[in-house]
Formats: sequence, structure tokens, C-alpha cells
Amino acid sequence: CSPIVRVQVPEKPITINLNVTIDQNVDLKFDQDIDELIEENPDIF
Amino acid sequence: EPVLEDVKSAGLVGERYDGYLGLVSAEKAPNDVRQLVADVNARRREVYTKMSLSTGKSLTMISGLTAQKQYELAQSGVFFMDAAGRWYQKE
Amino acid sequence: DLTTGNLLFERKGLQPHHVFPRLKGIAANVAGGITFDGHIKWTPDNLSSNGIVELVDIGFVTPKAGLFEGVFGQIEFDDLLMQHSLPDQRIKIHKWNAGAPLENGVVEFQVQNFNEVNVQKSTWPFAKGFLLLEPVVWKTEAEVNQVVILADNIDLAGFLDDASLLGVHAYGTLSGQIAASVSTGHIKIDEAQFKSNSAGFIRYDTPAMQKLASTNENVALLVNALKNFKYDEMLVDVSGELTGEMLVNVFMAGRNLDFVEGHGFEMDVSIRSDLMALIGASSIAEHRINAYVQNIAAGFKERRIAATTAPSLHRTFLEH
Repeated sequence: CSPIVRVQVPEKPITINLNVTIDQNVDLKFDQDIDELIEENPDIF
Repeated sequence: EPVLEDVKSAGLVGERYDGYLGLVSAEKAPNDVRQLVADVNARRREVYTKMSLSTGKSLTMISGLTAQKQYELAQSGVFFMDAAGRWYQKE
Repeated sequence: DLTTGNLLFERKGLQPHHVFPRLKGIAANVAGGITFDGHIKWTPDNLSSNGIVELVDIGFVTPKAGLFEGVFGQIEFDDLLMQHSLPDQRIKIHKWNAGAPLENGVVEFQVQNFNEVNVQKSTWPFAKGFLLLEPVVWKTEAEVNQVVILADNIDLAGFLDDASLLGVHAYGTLSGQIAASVSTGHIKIDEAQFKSNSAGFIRYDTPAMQKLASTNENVALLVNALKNFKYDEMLVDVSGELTGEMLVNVFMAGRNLDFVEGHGFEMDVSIRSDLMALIGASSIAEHRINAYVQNIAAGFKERRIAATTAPSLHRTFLEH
């Protein structure tokens, strides 16, 4: 049988635009870590 | 050798918005004060880096919050630099 | 002859600036040993001195370049008084953290004076590929030093394994270049672009994504496409601060052969995060990270619906 030629209609690509933000919440523990950081290094703060 | 507290109260050195020391007027700063600032900034960099590795918070997040704390703890008259690079004195 | 034998520096003890005062502020918290073998010769016409300084497992920190550990090597100075060395001095560095953790690097340099080091070559293995620092004259007293880093064959799987938190499995390699401004406490990325070296795969299929997919058909489109996405081309633009918040913009053209008969997709994903901190963190597990999709728009090439508000970073790469 004769080969079947499927005419490929040039596909229009599906476009996807996506914005993602990865946040780290600043919690109380982090705040205390900073206080400690300052207290433990008096010669440089 | 200059001492950090003295150079800060003398208004030669101030705290920056990003948690590092800065020379209030760079051109007039004597060499030993310039060296002191670089030495302290290096040691602060190490402390911030170690904390960043253990908490997963970025260096600028850690040093930025430290700067705010330094402001709260500072006596009035201490110089602070804002993110735009302007120096002002804490009332 | 001036020979000082060996010196042992300790964080709370002897520091180099106690021996050479001019070194104060260049490196701090120095730990480790140096052996110094200096000869000063006087001849009628000149004073020549050479000194070989051997570094044995040295650690130190600098305000701009960050934290160094495990530095080994020899530096041959040819004019001790001016602190000038022969070219092609070579040191090995076990760990360097300027904002991102790097290991097992090599630096070839020449000390030109107290505040200037001509870094002739510096290479670092990174994510199964290499980072190569372009030659630069590093000025310790400059406010800012500009550097250019070439990234060669960065393996996506290798890179993402380090950042295992993202749950993305990616296969393929990228190469590109980063131009950055280094100042005290900051590494600002002026421009960074990477391009895929060949086709590759992204496989991202997590329960969280499945849940997200039920909320919005655009997201469902994305989720299904990313289950097994073969990209023909990937372009990555990065800006922001290596030491802080980075914006990574990934453009991918490709398809998922098991979804909508392999219809072509063009994806433009921008991710805002403190990426290097997330990668470098040792205890990331108990870390609460919330990633939220700001907006998602889908459409066909011609009728682009509601283009996102992504900043001008997005460029149509396919026209070239």
C-alpha cells in the first residue's frame, strides 16, 4: 500500500510562564540566634 | 592600636545597613583605622558565613538583621549608613 | 641570612600582622603553619632577597573573598621588602566559601604588592563540571572587584543533588558565564547566562505539585508536562546577589512525549530565592520553606495570554 504521509501542521507550542518565590520565614528562633551571635562575639560587635 | 569602641564614639567608624563596619569619611581615615575596619569586617564575615551554613539563611539576611540589632543596641551619636550609602547619627 | 623557620598561627594567638603589621586587615583569624626561608643578599648594585613561604593547612577569612580552609602551597617572593613574588605561584585550597561552598580549588597567582594579587588562573570543580575564574588583578583595598567566572559543563543532576530540597530531577549539562561585583559582604551578579549543551530531561512529580494541579488548569498543564519533560534547549539567566536573594530565570523548549501526544511546550520559569544559602545549608531538613506560585499564564505562541510580570529578563530566545 502507498505510504501514508501525514502532513504535519506546524505545531504552535503551548507557552507557560510561571513565577515562583521560595521564602524562608524569619522566626523567633532566628531572631534569638542573631542576639546570640552578637553577644558571643563582643570584640567585633 | 585603635580600639573599635573609641573609633566609633569618635565618629570615624560607623555601622552599615548590611551588618559591616564602614569608614564615615574614607579619605580622612588613618591607615590603622582602615586596617581595623577590614579586620573586624573579615571576622564578622566568618561569623555570618558559619551561621548561614547552619541555618540555611543567606548571608545578607543574617548580616542585615544583625545591623538592625546593632542599631537598637547602639548609644546615641553612633553613625549608621543606610542602604543608599548615606551616614546619619542615631539620636 | 634572615630565616625565621616556622611560625604557627592560631585564631586567638599569634597572627601574621603581629609579625608583619602591614598585613592587618588583609586576612583575619589566621590559623595554620608557615615555614619561611628567606635569604637577603647584598651585592654592590642591588639588594636582592628571596623568600620561600610554605603554607601548611592555613585557614583565614577576608572581608570580600570570604572564608578559606586548608590552604597549602609555596610562595616564592623575589623582593621581600615590597612583597612581590615570582609569577605562577600555586596554592591548593580545600574549602572556600564566598557565599557558595566550593572545594578542592587551585589558584595560580603573582603577588604584585601588598594590596594587589594578579590571579592568573583559578579552577574549582563544581557539580561534576568546572568553574574557571578569568584572570583578574585582585585589589584588597578596592571597594569593589569585578570578576568573571566561566562555568563549564555544570551537571544539572550534580547541581540539584546539592540542592536536594527542590525535589527536581534534572539531567543534562549547562555551560555559561557569570560576571560579578565583589565587595565587603556582597557578591552581586551583574550578569549570568547559561545554555544547555545538549537536550536533557526534567522530571518533577511531587505530591505537592499534584495538589497544586487540582487548583488551576494552567498549573495542571505545567505539572503534567514536567512529569517527564524532554527539553531540546534550556537557557538560564541569573541576577541578584549570590550572598542573598537571587532571581533564576529558566527558559525551556521541549515536550513530554506521554502528554498531549508530545505537543511542544515553551516554559519560562522565574524562581526568586536565597539559592546559595539553601544549597550550602547543612541542616536544611527541619527548615520550613514555602514556595508559592505568584502567577501562571499559559497560551499558544501567537495568542500569548496575560504575559507574566516577569521583569525584562525574559527574552524570546528562539528567534536567533
